[in-house]
Amino acid sequence: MRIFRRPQEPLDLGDFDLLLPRQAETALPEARQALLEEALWAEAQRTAPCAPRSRARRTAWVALPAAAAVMAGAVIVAPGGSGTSGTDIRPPKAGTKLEPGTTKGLSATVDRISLAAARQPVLEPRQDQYIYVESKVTGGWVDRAGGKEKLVVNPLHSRQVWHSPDGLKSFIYEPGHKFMDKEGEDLDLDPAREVTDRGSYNSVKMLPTDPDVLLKRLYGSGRMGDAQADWTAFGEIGQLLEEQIATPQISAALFKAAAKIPGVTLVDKTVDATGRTGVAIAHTSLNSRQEWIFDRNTYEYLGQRDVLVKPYRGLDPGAVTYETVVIKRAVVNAKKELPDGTTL
Amino acid sequence: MSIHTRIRDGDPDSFRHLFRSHAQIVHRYALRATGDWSTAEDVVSLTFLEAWRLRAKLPEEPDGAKAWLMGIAVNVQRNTNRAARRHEKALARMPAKEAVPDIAGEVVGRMADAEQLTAAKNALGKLRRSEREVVTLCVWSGLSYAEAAEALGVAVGTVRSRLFRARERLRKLAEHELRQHADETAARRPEHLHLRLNLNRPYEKWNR
Repeated sequence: MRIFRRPQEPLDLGDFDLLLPRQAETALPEARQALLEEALWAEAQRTAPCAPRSRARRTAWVALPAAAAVMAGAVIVAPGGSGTSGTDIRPPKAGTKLEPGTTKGLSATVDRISLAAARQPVLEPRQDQYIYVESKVTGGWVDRAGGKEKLVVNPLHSRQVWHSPDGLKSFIYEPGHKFMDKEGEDLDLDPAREVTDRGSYNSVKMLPTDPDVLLKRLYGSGRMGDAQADWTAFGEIGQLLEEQIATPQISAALFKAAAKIPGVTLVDKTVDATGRTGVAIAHTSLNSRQEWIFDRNTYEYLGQRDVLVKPYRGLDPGAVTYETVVIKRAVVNAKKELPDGTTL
Repeated sequence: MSIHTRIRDGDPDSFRHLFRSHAQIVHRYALRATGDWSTAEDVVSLTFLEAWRLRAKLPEEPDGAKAWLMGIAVNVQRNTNRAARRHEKALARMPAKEAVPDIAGEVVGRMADAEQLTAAKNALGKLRRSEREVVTLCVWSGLSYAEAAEALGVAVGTVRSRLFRARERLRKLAEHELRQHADETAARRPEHLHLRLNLNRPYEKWNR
């Protein structure tokens, strides 16, 4: 016997449970989702009107074993593996000579860098506190006006980030960034959705201190010796150096792991975004060289840069496409709180 | 500047955020609608490739993304081949399907799911496309009538009446199958019973 019901009334969707086969709770596996995310992001990068570098990704992916595989599988579309940028502070000169890298002295330098990292004041945020990192960065984008791709630049500018130790709460203040809100932006993640703990302080703290084990973790299912996987593993560590804090033991392990990546060299002389000269640990890929720059006397970490080794999008080899220097790292009690106790 | 504004301006990192927060719901829809894991993943990829292409149309309201994306998913599912042709090259760059080894338990789970997916596909196959879409969106993807209406580009009342019709049609089919099943059982000679039982099992499951 059927009860007549007008269509206007809300239907009891439960009725359908009886009429349709039951559906198990299925989900796209997490590792698979991460792979798709990385590939789609690479697609978006390749067709983006503007392409800020991976720094804006704001988290490194070390904690997710599949992540290295993810990026190893992703298509390189630009130097840096992830977009490109330029600077008008020192306009890229044609044919700027790049100091070649060497493996000679690499391990001794890595030891000194590890020791220097161990001398840094140890920062240990409580779970209710925030990691504060202030840096100066250059950013740019690819201009496609007139049908020709050209790197356009914006000057060195300040960037301040606040990250909670679990990585779920963040605030980024970078008014010089082309896309970001001039008032700064909350980038909180939904804990229900963000089950993976990517690149957070907590996840870094849990990293293995054995460089070989750590290296394996960084590569994920990527193969050591594969150019893309090597580049990615090096870049993973680079991202942690930029805007994360690690214990001396983990820092030392990260540097030692980096030195084991095929193609990593020591560059005797380089210069950071503020003009300080230093030594660099570098890795070169198809198009460009990533450099981590350290003070040549104290071996303290200064910053990073990417330099083209091949012509790219109208720029000549030697052009600096990305730069960052760290100004301050601290632990503060709240978003927007500055290390001196004042508020942004 | 809101995250949607940044996506519309072409910021890949904000787009990544959109994927992260909606990948599962799009996938769930795609899986129910296609009944096939591999095709469902293509639908997910294509939906987001289309979303990136059409990003200028992303609604400004923070809540608007779900319905908008599901609308794209519906269109992609309606004509997967056309979308695949449009994004042929990008699709080729997507990760290979076997790139991530399945965890053993997941494989077993998927085999069990496969039976249910096939059953779902058969059941939906008895509905008109318009009805099928509202059922998949409202019943299995949990969209509200308003969201489904927006995704499909129809009035809320249309969603309601399509759902109503879908339910009535499924009911009739269920009754019909019950009757048929009863007739067959009565007419069947005992020695053939074991053969027929297997064939009829799916119907029995639906009508419980």
